[in-house]
Amino acid sequence: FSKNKIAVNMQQTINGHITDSSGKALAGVSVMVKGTKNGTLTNLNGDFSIEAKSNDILVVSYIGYITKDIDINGQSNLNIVLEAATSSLNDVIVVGYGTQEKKLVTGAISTVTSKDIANIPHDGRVEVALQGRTPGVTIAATSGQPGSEYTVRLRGLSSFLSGNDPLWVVDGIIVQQSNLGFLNQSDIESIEVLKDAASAAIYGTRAGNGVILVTTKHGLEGKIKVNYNGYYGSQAPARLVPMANATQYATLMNEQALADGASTMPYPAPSILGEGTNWQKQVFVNNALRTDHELSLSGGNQNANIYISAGYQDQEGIVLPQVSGFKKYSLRINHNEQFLKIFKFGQSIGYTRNDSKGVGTNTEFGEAVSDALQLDPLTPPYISKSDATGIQYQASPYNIVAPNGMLYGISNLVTQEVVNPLGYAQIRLGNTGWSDNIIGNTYLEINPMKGLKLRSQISVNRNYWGDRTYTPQYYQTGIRHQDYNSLARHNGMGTEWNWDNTVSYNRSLKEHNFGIVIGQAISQDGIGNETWFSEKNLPVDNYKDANFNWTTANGAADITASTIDYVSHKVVSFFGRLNYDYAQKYLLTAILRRDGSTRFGANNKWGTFPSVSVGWVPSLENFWKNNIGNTINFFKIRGSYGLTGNDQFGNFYYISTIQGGVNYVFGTAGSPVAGASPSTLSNPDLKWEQTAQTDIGFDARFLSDFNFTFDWFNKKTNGALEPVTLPLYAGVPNQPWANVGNITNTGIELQLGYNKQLSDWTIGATANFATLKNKVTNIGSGNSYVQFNEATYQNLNNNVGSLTREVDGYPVHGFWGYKTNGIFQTKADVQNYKSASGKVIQPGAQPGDFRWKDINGDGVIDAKDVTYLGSGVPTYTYGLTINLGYGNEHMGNFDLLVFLNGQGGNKIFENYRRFDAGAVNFPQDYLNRWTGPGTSNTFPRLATFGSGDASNGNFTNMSDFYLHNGDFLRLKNIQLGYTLPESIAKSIKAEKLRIYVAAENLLTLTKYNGFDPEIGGGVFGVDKGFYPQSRTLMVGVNLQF
Amino acid sequence: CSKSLTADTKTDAKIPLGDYYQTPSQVYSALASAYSSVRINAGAFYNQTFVMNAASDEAYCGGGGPTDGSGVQFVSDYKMNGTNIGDNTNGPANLWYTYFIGIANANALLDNIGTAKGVTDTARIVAECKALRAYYYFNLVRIWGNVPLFIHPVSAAEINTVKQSTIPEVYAQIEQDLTAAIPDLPKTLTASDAGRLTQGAATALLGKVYLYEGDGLPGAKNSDGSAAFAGDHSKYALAAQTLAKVNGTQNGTSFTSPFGYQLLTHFADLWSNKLTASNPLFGNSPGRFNSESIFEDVHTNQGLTGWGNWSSGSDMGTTLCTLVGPRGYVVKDPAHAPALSTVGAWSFNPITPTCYDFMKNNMTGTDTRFAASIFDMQALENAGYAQYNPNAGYQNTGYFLNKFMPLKTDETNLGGDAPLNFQQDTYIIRLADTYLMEAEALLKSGGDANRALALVNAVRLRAGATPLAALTLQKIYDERRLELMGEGTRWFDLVRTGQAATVLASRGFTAGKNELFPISYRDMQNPNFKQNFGYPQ
Repeated sequence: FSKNKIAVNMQQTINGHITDSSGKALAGVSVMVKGTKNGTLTNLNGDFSIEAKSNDILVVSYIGYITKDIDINGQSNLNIVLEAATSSLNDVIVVGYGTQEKKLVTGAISTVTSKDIANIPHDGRVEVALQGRTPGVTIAATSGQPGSEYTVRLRGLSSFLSGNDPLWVVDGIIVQQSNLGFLNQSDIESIEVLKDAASAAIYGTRAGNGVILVTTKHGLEGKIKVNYNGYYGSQAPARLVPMANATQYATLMNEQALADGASTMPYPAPSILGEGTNWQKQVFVNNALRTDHELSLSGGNQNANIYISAGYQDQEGIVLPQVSGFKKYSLRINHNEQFLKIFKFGQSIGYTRNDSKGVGTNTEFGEAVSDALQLDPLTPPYISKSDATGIQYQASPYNIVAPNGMLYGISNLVTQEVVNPLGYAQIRLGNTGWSDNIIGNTYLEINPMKGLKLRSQISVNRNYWGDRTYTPQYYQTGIRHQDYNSLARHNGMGTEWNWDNTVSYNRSLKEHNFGIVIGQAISQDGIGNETWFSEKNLPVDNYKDANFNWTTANGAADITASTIDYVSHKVVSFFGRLNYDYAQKYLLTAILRRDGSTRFGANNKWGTFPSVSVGWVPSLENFWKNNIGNTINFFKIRGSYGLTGNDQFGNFYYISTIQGGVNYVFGTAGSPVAGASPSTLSNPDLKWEQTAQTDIGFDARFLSDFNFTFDWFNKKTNGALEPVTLPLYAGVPNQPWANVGNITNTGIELQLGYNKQLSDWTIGATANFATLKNKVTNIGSGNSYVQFNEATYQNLNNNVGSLTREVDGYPVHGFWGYKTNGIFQTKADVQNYKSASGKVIQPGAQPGDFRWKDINGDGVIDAKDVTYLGSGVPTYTYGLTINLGYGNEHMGNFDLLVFLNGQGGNKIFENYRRFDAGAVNFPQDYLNRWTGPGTSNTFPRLATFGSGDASNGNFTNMSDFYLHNGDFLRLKNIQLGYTLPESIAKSIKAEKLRIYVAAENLLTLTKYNGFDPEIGGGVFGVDKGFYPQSRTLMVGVNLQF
Repeated sequence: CSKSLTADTKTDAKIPLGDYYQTPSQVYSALASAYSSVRINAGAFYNQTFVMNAASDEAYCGGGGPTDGSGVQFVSDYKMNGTNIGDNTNGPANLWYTYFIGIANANALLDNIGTAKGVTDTARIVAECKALRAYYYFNLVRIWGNVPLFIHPVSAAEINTVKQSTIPEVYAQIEQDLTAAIPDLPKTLTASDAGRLTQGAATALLGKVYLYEGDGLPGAKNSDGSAAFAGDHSKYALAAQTLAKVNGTQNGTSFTSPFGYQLLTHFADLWSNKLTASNPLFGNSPGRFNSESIFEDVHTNQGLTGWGNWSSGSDMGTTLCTLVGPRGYVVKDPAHAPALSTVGAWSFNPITPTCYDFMKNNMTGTDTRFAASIFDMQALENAGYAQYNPNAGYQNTGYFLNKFMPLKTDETNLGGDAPLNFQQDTYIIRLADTYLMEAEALLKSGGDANRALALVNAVRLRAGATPLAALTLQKIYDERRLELMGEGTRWFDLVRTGQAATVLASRGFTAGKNELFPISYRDMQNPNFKQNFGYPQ
């Protein structure tokens, strides 16, 4: 008998003490011997004792904490620390003017906590923290330019022309999404996304697109802690778009010329042209800097706490970083203090400075990225002055001189706004934008008796922003030139404030638990102004010397200035919420909000927004506990219905305003008298766009380690605003706005989480998936379609109008155009393509032309054959986060984070060729063009715009030819960290020292061949040369003292 | 609280309608906007003179091709319907739209001026608004017949359910407005308010209205086929009396107007009514606001009109001049050919051979009216004095409208786009017209035939024509052709006198239908609206 063998067989008493990570004893924790029915619970002091063998494993589980397997390994006294599970049911979440225990919540609320995003490399924008982590939230970059906003859509699009942005409330401060740049990721304690009407209705008329509540960190009781988190990274484009090189370009140009009937080829020997200029390599860099440093100090005692942080971020653009980049400096102080037992007050104050420079993005009108795609490869990036003899260099004395003394190459093939992007960067040097953002709140809270709380909070957000632009004399093309230098400055400032007063009271009578909040709020935004000032003909030749103190050549004639005052928007609100539950089993929440807004017409100044939600927790019923309680530990089913509104539209939509410009001449001098007259008819009935939403869902915890949440929603918006076409006899020039359209959004959302701790291992995984079906149900009377917020592409509008339309039964901003149906291979094919009545449908077509689908079957291809081709908004989105940890106090801890997000069902419009800009370059796809029978059934023959192509519209028709599948799965973040053993950390007086390597956007699986399939904006998925998000590799440190 | 929610929207950037019309300067600006629609007589592409000339036997549409200004091509060919008549931007319905804007702007001021502070001439402004409303409705009722009648601003709630009024109802309102306006209008104007309405102008208009009421619309039908507007012959006497107040007392071969109106000595001087001409105010000499002008539509190059605001409320130029110039005009002999502007010359409204022949064949004595009215490009070219591009002009006849030629001397020297900044005023009503109308009313009412003859002969004498010995209605109609050719009045005269069906038959005019224009599809969305007879609903 070995000693070990004996020990194995011995039953002994194991004593233990269980605490949470802060050291607080946990009572009622379940301790089971694995594989047996032997178990116990901890007492009030967190202690337990249990009979077990020395090689048994104890399973320690507690609601709201990660279940741990503890290997007894011969020990008889155990100190066990349980880690709180993220999204735990015991968590208290922020619900708007209050908090609620998550297990009692009856609405659909997704939460992201500081833990979820702690290891995500900080972006300049906080919106991205929600991407892939909150089902039902569709988020897409509007540009990869550093500091750019993301487009955020909660449960779809509910409006044609008003804003579709959710309401952002940071620490109770209502903030425009465009101002969110002030937030630092490390400062965020939690983000709650109120998705259903029942949750959001407490924000009434501003909640129609959902509400996102952000709460920043506060100091915790205990000694002062100092945290530092910082990284250095290097960015590069994930991919370039394959474009034709000079030889390929010349070959295609030759072919196009011959197709148009030319007798000779413009480039007799394409191969001698070689590769030519790869413009993308000229504008993209592979080592753009990205760095972020955030330092915080926090702590407190039982009466007061404080959290102070400072941050610095610097991110260069991957496109022409000399003119694209972003820097952010931030400071924050959050402070709370209790006095005289019943009073509590506090402040939260943040200051942020952003400095940015940028290139125009995603436009065909020549803005760096699209220049790089459109400019021909024959034009050199630089040309010596002596070689610059072409006529394009003779047009102006103001050719731009590069720092190397050469001139920037000017194309003699490509015209319009498409220019040499290097020259474009040179004339923008020194142009900067900036913003200063001061945001803060202060509150006073009184707790005169148990359960009663009176709270008053004033919140203010003050922004200053502006830019300074110097443009030298330059010539790039016939329409991109300036014969004088100019210096311009633009300054703006704006304020938003809100004042919230609430009384809340919580009381329990036996098993009856009540909570009530009654409040009043007032908010105002749009207080501010903007000023533009510019001078020209300064006696300088570069941006460094440019200064407003110079005397301009023509004095006052060289100066222009203008300024505007904003129109303020005010909302006055009264609201109440009742929470009731019986024994935490039967749950009810009812909300009533009443809002008056300056944006509503006289007959609808006030809107009422009620909601009700109910829940039942059968897992607390005996029948459940006795039967499946061990399998499904917690189950809550809930349903809600409510009304919310959207007032993200202009200030005078309900009223006729006076406009100038309807003039007449009085008097012999012939000078016009400025006339003033009503712009349109008033619509006193104008009101909010109203969304009624039903949500049914459940939350479950099963097998101790799994969490599952499901929601189904149906969101119906009535009265979406549209301009109404008036009869001519109305006698007004403008169209008034009215609540006309209807839109629905439906979908399901799933979230599954798993957390487990096994001695040295911790495993966590969260997956989510959401679907969205967006549909216009009524565009208003008298129209078969309307075009709102439409995307366009130059010279691509043959019979279609814009790229997008709104049509009953189809998504908002859907893509509409012609459907292709293969390519005519022979003349016989053309003749054989007949309608049911035997009519040749495209008699003018040539072999190599598209066969268009005759949608209405009338034998003619015309505007009536324009059909729905898809939407830029994904129909499903998903995300997966995996956290693995391994280690112990001796070896330290390794952690691995893998975060994937993806989407599908969406289309991307991709077009890099502006036909009217001359002979622009070809994507390499064009090498697959039809060149004779059998060569292609998907890519038509080449012909010049305006001649060969015009008759069939192969390239000028908006069609499915330009639409691509936008599905993607992206490895958004991967990170490997190592936390040094405490003993080593202590040697440098640190509590924790973690180092990590991380990558962002390392891999994107997609069939889309553009730069980046994630394209946001007012209309999703329009790629005209999108500034892609970068691929970043980073190394970083977390340090805690 | 609701109050504060509204008050807060005040801003300098935009003024809610309810907060305007408070100060004298606001009222003055509102008044300018009420007048603004007068410019549609010759300003903007779809101006009334161009459209009505094209509808008459005096001119075709013309232009650069068969689809140039296509809405007017359909008018000229009598193929107009509710769709091709266009809407606010495209087609002759632009006239309808512009007049309703004028009516709405007048109504807005009428309803709000009561609360303005410090306005010292309220009664005059009210009178002007009423007279303008009457003038706009007079055009609408003459072209479209059954139009909706608004004497207050229309609300969004009722906009799609308003009903059309009958033609007599509209005329009754016009009479009422003008009658109410006349006493409160000034008798004379100063240099700073030249162009505004006077007692004389409103009286002349009222006389013209009575004449039209006397004639009715022979042959015109309501949508149900009934007669649209039977003439009320009792109005002829009223017309004669009213116009006599304008024309004044006879002094031998001339007349002395109590308002000081006088025929210009030289007929050709009438067409120099532009700012570039030197003119004493209301003098008997070339220039705007001359002594023959009773009410004119005023234009200027100082609005710096560009293509971007062309045909909008801030388009201050006379597009008519650019419309009627011959394409490709080149002077060969400056001694014999005038210098025309070539910045814009689009060959619209070519004169019909019928009209050319009529004018040519009816010149007597030293009548200057043929030469002043018709630009005989054909003759200039034949003589080798000038040339043009006959192939560039659609429906080219070689004859152009001389009254509104875009002269080189009238080319703008300010900013804006040159073709859009000619600044010739056109006459809404001038003294020769009121003479001829009074003569006609006298004959039709059995009034003083001698006075009638004297009135007509005064017009003839001024032009240099031989006086008539005796008068018939037809002679007055002929005199109107000679005198007013190309000024946009011929079509109205043909229709009210029942001659249109015959005279315009070759152009495609359908009796019982084309006496009225079709109503735009945009307005036919109103379920209560009935399309004019003969046009598809």
